[in-house]
Amino acid sequence: MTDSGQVFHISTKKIAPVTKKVVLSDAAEKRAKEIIPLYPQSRSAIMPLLYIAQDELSYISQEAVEWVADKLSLPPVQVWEVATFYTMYYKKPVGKYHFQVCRTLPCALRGAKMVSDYLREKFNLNPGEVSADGMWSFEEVECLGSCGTAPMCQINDVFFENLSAEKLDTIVERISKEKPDLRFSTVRDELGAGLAGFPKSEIK
Amino acid sequence: MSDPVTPKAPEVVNLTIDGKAVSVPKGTNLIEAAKVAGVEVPHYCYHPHLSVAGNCRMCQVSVKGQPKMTIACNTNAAEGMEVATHETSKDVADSQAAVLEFILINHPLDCTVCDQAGHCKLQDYHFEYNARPSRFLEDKVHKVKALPLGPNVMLDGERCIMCTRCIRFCDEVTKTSELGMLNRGDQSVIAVSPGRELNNALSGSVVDLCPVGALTHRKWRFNTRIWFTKQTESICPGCSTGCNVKVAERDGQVTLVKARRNDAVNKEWLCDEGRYGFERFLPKSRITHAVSNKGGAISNSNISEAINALKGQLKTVTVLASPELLVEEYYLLRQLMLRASSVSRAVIAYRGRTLSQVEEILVSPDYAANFRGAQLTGLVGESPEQEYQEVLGKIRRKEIENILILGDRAIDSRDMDEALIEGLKAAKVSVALISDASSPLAAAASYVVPGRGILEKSGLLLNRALRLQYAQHVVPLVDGTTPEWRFLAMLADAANIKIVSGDLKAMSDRDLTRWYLATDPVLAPQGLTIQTIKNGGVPLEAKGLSVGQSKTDVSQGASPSVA
Repeated sequence: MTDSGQVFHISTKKIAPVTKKVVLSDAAEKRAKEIIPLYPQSRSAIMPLLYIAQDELSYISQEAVEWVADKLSLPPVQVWEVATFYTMYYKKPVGKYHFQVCRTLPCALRGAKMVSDYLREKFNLNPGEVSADGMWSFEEVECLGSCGTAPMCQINDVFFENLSAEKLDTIVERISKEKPDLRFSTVRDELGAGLAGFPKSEIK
Repeated sequence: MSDPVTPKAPEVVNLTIDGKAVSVPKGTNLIEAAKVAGVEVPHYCYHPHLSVAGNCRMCQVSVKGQPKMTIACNTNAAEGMEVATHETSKDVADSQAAVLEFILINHPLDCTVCDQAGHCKLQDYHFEYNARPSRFLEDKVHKVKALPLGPNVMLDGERCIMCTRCIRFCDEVTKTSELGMLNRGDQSVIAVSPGRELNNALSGSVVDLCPVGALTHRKWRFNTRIWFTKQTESICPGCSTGCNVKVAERDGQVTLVKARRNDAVNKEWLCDEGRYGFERFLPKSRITHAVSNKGGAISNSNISEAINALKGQLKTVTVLASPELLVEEYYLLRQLMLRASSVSRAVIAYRGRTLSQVEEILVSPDYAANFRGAQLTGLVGESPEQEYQEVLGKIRRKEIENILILGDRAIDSRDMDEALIEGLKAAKVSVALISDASSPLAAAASYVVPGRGILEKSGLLLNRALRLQYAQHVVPLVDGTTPEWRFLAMLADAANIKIVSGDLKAMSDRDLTRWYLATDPVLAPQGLTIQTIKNGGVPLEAKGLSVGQSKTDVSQGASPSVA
């Protein structure tokens, strides 16, 4: 698990506390204002707010955590607890196309290792690394809830299921050529156009 | 007069634990109920003064009628419950052994270099409840080692068993929430938020709470093995809260200060200033010989020279006493002064302080551990700080001729200025019983006699809430030193003042305390013994006593004698 890039380590170096507050776009600030009153306990809004911050800042940086903590009047460490527990919050910058390969039992039995090895070789990357051109990155994650269509992976916010080496070839080739929008925007509440021919997942 | 409202008797439930019938108040959990039955249920994450987390799974017991084992910390005693612990149920014992095996899977087993070894719950419980070699052949997970969480506390992530006591302490007690648990599963690690640190007034308490060696004091890491130290149960003299502590000492050095549980005083917390500042009560360089200082000519002296110089001046002497002398010493001093004259005067170095929000949880707003003791014996009045400052003013104006200084802290270091030292030098006779050679008092007084600090004496302290507690001497005694009370007894003898019918000078600390408890007109009817006081202290207010009471009683002419 140590090589998957999921584990967040605290640096032993002195880090200055964030003094300058990060300001997100008006749309994001507005969305945050809508979300917070939906929860009787403001603490419950940590997850949707982390999504907003990730949308805007591309990953969960120290500034992003402080932004969420400030919005909810929580100690920042409690936001870190949530952000580091889940794999869908990126604790460091990822590539433009980020593969999350499920490696839990059903996928593992159906060939998750093949998917990982394919990506490793194809992009010459280890889990957690980003390719030199900033296009590709991948990591191994736990169950994404799509066991019936194993093996599978999630690229940005879209599921790609029943994977095989040939299918991966097609996907990678088409993504490089077409540069599709595979992101779900929490702020606009909509999923990108996706990749034609592949089912568009409804992740919210 | 209206009847005081009688508190409703708490509802009691009856249950059996390992066949033993016990009755406990409703709402008591099974760990506490088992304690009543004399069974210790092993546990890591449970702490009586923190919320129940229930994550270590060590405290499992079996309850008749329930298909699975249950955790004792999160199960309240109920009427008719039949509980079996590891002592009678093999299933429970096996289950606890399995839990320990799981907890130890990723534990580095570095006891040989761990400061907690010797007082570690993992070691103790493994020996008691598992004691099997590990069957784990795979690689262990590696985590952060030696990560400073703040100025006082160091984290070893691999030793941590994720009991979350430290997190709950910061969330629930100090309410500062610096700590959290990052990542998940076997990668979980205790952490502070990047850019912040664990830096509150009680931060050292998380080390006491840590059942393993994951959190250690940065000040005392790799200092000594705990079994080479002498551990003494005593009272912290830092302020008048009187926190109960356990002090480990080796070769005259304090090597660890731990909070000792006393629910009525400090629960199990201790402030950083008291804990890490414990050594300030030890002299930097020890005075071992009496010296006299006549007009700048310093020569060797002895204690009788100082006493001879002082005995004729008792009517006019002004006594400056440390705020952490023993109650017995204040009592002796008061008796001596009552019998010598009414002109002489005594003050203690009371200094008030303002507290931060976190400090207010535990710390008292003063640096005077035993000012209540001085008030109890009638030595000082309601406003000790004002009296003290008055006397300092007089010394600065060179209005005082004869001065007796009892203890290093009889003059607070913040009050020590040029004018004061000049005033002391100008006095006709000034005798100082101090232990620190680097103190300015050592050069200013005309006679310096090696005294004993609060860590070198055993006796009574009265805390701010009027709880009488017993402090035991922590560091080994140094030859040639005289405790303040013995000096006072010798002074009384030399001046032909009879305080007691026996010979006080020949007594030990314990004899003195016994004598005092049997003699003080207020305390004597209570029939207190050192043993009863040691066991959590005795609240005087609950016994209908308040400070200032002895003042009248003593001046009405009680004639105390040795019991």
